[in-house]
Amino acid sequence: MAESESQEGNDYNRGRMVENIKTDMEELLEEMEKLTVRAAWMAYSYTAIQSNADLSNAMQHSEDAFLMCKEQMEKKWQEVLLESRREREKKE
Amino acid sequence: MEKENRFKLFMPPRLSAGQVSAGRSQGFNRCSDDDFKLPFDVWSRGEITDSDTISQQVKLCSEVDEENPETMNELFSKLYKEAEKIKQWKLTVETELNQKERKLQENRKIIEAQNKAIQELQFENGKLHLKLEDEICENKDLLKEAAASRHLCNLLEETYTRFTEKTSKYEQEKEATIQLYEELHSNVERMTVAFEELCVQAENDRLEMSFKLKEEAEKVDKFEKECRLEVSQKEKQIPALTIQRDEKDDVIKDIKAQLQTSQNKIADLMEAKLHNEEMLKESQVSKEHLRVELEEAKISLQKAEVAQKNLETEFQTTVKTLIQVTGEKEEQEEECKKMKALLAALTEEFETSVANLKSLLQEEQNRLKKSEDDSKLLTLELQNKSAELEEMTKVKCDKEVQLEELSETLKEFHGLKAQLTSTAEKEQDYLKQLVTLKTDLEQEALKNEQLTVYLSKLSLEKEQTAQEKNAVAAELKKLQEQQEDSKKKEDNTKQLVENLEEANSQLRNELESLKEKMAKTGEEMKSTLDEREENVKRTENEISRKEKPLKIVENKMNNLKKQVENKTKCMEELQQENKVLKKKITTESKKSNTYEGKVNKLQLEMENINKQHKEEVDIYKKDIETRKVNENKLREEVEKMRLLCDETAMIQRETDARCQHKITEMVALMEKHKNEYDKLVEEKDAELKVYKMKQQKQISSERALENELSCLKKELSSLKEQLKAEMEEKENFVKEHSGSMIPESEKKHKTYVIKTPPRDKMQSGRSTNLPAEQSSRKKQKVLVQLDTQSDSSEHTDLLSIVSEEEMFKNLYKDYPQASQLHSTAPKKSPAPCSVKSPGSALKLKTMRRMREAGWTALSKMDRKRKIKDAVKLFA
Repeated sequence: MAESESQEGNDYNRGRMVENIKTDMEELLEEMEKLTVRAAWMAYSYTAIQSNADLSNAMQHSEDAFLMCKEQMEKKWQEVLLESRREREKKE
Repeated sequence: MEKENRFKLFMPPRLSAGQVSAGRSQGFNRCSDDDFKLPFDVWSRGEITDSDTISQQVKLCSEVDEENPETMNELFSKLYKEAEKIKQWKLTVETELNQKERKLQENRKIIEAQNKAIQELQFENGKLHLKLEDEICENKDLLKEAAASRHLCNLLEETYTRFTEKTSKYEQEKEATIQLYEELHSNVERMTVAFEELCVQAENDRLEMSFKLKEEAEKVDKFEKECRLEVSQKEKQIPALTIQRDEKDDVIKDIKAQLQTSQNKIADLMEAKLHNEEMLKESQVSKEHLRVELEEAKISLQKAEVAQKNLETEFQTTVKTLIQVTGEKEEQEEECKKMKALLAALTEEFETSVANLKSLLQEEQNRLKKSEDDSKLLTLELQNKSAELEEMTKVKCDKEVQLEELSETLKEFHGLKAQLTSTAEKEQDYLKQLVTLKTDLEQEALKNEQLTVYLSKLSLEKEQTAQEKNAVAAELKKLQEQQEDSKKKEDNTKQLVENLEEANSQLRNELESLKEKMAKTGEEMKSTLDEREENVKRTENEISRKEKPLKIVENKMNNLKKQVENKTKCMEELQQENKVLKKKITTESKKSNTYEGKVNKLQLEMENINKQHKEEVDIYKKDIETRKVNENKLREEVEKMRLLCDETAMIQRETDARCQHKITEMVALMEKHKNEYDKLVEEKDAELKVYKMKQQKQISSERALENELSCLKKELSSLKEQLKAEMEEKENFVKEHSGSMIPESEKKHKTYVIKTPPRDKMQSGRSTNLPAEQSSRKKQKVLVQLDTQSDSSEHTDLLSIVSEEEMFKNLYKDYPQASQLHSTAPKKSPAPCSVKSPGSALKLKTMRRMREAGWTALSKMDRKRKIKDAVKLFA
C-alpha cells in the first residue's frame, strides 16, 4: 500500500512532473519563440540603425557646413582685409 | 478491543452517562474513518439501537439522579422497567448476535471468495507490478529525461533570463542609442543651422565690416585731410607763433631784466627802507619827545591863548577906554589946551604902552609859535620875558611916575584919576597875568627842571646800571680770572701730582729695580754664598790661606749690608716722603676740591648772574620787541590812517569833483532848460501875443463880417426880391418863349461865392471887400471872404458860393485884386491854429489853456525829472 501510495505519489508526481515539464516546455517554447522574435527584431533594428544614414549624412552636412564656414570666414576676412588694404593703397 | 470498549462503555452507565454518550458519539465519529468503514458499519448499526436504550438509561439515570427525594417505589418501578428493558435488550442482542453470526459466516465466505479474488488480484498485481516496474523504469528514464529536460529547461530558463536581461539591456541601450542618435541628429542639425547662420552672419559681418572699413577709410581719409589741412595751417601758424614766441621771449627777457632791475630796486628800496625805518625810529623818538613837548607847549599855548584872549579883550576894552579917554582928553584939550600936550604925551605913552603890549602880545604869539622849540628857547624866552617884565616894571614905574605926575597935575580930573586907577588896576591885572605867566613859566621851568632832573636821574640810573653792569662785568672778569687762577692752580697741582706720581712711579720703579737688584744681589749673594761655601769648603783649606780675602769679602758683605741698610733707609725715607707727598696730595686734592667747590659756586653765581642778565636782557628785548611791535602797529595804523586819510581825501576830492561836475552839469542843464524854457516862454509869449493879435483881428474881422453879413442879408433880401421879380419876368418870358432859355437861366442863376482865404489875406480881403461891397451895392455879385473855423483847428473850411463866371469876371475886371484873390485858389491855411470865428473863441481859449497846461506839465515833468536826476546824482 505504501509503495502503491508512493508509486501513486510518484506517479502523481511524475504526472505532475510530466505535466509540468510539458507546460514548462510549452512555455519555454513560447518564450523561445518570443526570444527568437525579439532577436530577429534586434537584428533588424541593428541593421536599421546601422543602415540609417541620417546621422552620417547630417554629420557630413555639418562638416560641409563647417568647412564652408571656415572657408568663408577665412576667405572673406582675408578678402575684407585685402580689399581694405587695396582700397587704402588705391586711395594712397 | 471494540467489545471491551463497548463493555467499558456499558459498565458505568450512571456515572458517566453524560460522558458515555459523548464518548460514543466520539467513538462513532472516530469510526467514521475510511479505513474502518466496513467493519464499523455493522457495529455502528448495532450500537445505534443500543444507544437508544442507553440513552434512555442515561436519561433515566439522570432522572434518577435528579429525583433523589422521589420515593423508592418509583425507583424500584424504574428498576423493574429497566430490568425488563434489559431483558428485552438481551433478547434483541441475542438475535442480533445470531444475525451477526450468520452475517459473519457470510462474510467469511465472502472473504474467502475475496481472498481468492485477492490472490488472483495479487497475481495480477504481480504482473502489474512487473509492468509497473517496467513502467517505473520507463518512468524513471522518463523522469531522468524529464530531469534532464528540466535541467535543460532550467538552463534554457537561465539562458532565457539572461537573454531577456540582455535584451532588456539591449533595448535600454537601444533606446539610449536612439535618444543619443536623436540628440546627435538634433545637435548636428543645430550645428548645421548654426554653421549656416554663421555663414550668413559672416557674410553680413563681412559686409558690415567692409562698409565700416569703407566708412572708416573715408573717415580716416577725411581725418587725414583735415589733419593735413590743420598741419598745413599749423605749419603756417608755426612761423607766426615762433615769431610770437621770440617776441614773447624778448618780452620775457625784458621782463626778467626789469625784474632784476626791480629786484635791485627793491633791494635798494629795502635798504632805503631800512634807513628810513631807522630814520623813522629816530624821528619817532624825536617825535615822541616833540609830542610831549608839543602837548606841554599846547597846554602852555592854550593858557597863553586864554591869556592872549583875555589880554585881547582887555586890550579891546583898553582901546575903547583909551578912545573914550582920548575923546575926553580932546574935550579936555579943547577945554584946557595946556593939558593936551600932557594928555597927548600920556596918550603917546599909553600908545607906547599899547605898542609895547602889542609887541609883547606879538612876542607872546611868537613865543607860542616857537613853543615847539627846546627848553632852552623857553628859558631864553623866559629870560626875555623877565627882561620884558623888568621893562614892563620899568614902564610901569614910569607909568606910575607918570600917573603920579598926572595925579599931581590932574587932581582936578577925578574922572581921569579914576580912569587911571582903572588903568592901573588893569595894569595890575596885567601884572597879575604876567605874574601868572611868570609862575607858569616858572612852573614850566620847574617842569623842565624836573624833566631835566628826571632825565638826569634816568641818565644817572642808566649810568648806574651801566656802572653796575661794568662792575658786574668786572666781577665776572675777576671771577673768571679767579676761576682761571684756580684752574691754573689746579693744573699746577695736577702737574705736581702728576710729577709726584711720576716720581713715585720712578721711585717705585727704582724700588722695584732695587728690589730686583736686591733679589738679584740676593741671588748673587746666594750664589756667592754657595760658591763661597764651596769655596769655604774648598777653601776651608784655603781659609787659612785666604782669611784676608774672607775678611775682605766679609767687609764687602758688611758694606753691602750697609748699603742695603742705607738703601732700605732710603727706601723708608722715600716711602715716608711718598707718604708725605701723598698727604700733600690729599691736602692739595682737598684744596683743589675746595677750589673746585668755590669754582662751582662761582660758576653757579656766574650762571645765575648770567641768567639774571639774560633775563633782564630778555626782558629788555621783549620790551623793545613789544615796543617795536607797538611801534610797528602804530606805524601800520599811522600808515593805514594816512592811507585812509589819503583815500578819504581822494574820495572827498573825487566826490567834490563829481559833485562839482554834477553841479556844473546840473547847472548847465538847468541853464539849458532855463534857456530852453525861456525860449519856449518867449516863443509862447510871442505866439500868445500873435494869437491875441490874431484873436483881436479875428474879433474885429468877425464884427466886420457880422456887419457885412447883416448888410449882405439885407442885400440878399433885396436881391431875393429882385430875383423873385426877375423870376416872375423870366417865367413870363418862359411862358412866352420856349424852354431854350433854361440853361441861360441856369447860367443867369446867380449864385454867390463866399470864399475863405487864409487869414493873412484878410486885410487884402477887407480891402477887396470894401470894393466888393461897393460893387455888390452896384451889382448883385459879391465876394465875401470869410475865414471860418470848423471843429478841426488845423485847417480852415471853405464856404464856397460860386458866382457866375461872367459876373465874377466883370467884377475882377474892375477889381484886379479880387482876381488875384480869386486866382489864388483857396488854400488851406498852413497855420496850426487860427480861430477867428466868434463861436470858437471859447474853443481857442480852452485850447490855449490846454496847451499851456500841457506845456506846464511838460515843463514840470521835465523839471521833476531833472530834479530827480539831480537828487540821484547828489544822493
